[in-house]
Amino acid sequence: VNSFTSSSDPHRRFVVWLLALVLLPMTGLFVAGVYLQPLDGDLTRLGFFAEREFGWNAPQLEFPDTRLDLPRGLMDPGHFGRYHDILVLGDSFAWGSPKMQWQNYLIAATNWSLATQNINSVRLRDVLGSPVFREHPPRILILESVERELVHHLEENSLLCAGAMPVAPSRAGGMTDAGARTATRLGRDAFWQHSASREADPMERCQAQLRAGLRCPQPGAQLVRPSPIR
Amino acid sequence: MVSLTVWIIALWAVAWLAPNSQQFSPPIDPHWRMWPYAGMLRWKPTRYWLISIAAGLLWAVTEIGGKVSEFLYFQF
Repeated sequence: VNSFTSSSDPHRRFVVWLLALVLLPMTGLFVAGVYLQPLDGDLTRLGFFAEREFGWNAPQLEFPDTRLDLPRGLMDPGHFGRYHDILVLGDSFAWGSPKMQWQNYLIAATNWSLATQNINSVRLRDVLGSPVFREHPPRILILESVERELVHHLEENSLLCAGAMPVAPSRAGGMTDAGARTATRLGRDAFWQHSASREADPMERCQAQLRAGLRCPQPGAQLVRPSPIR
Repeated sequence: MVSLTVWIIALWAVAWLAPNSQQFSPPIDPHWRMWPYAGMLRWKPTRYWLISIAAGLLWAVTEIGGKVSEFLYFQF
């Protein structure tokens, strides 16, 4: 540093203005990011909704003693080697979080046996043509797919109706008025439930959730609050 | 492919035609300056340079971390 670059008022003003122009917007963006919370789920990523309103901020029910036998990864087809009352062929929403899967509620409500196979590595025609399915078909076959992969999975499994045309996915800006009202109302309800239950006893919260419509959970179900950032 | 070609040509022009860092930056030691430059791209503490650098810096910082992906399977 010498007399050419030091103690220069224009240079000092330049640096001060540069920091103000950059740091102030960055601080605003950072605060907004912390307030809205980092994007995590499908709804918030694809639907352009705020994680704060639609993310996992409410307590979740967990089944620590789950009996589900699920695929363990993207390439694991899962097990279906004997008769089950229900067979699920689905994506990660059918096997991604064993203790919190929706199949736990189904088993608890019906006490039926259930098998889950991975739609990413097993085709429907292979399931339908397997000896165990043909000789001991399940009472119910559930085909599950995340909506954004629905057309792809229907095509892969030859289930797309003749003449059906895939449509561009809708975004929040293209929602109908009724859809927007519903989304807003749900968001407020979710936030209200979260706020109201924040200080409540875990069992009371569990009971409140049960009263809110969850049927007959299996004994031993626990409420957990998984981090929105995994 | 066309976009990539345009990028390569534009960056090639910057590399060969634009002044280098010693030319557009202020002289730290005038005796050491080997390639004097007085063109319009020479840096000065002006509002145009301020806005340009601030915009570039903001863009660079907001691009850190990349775009939000809809692909979730990396978590399994």
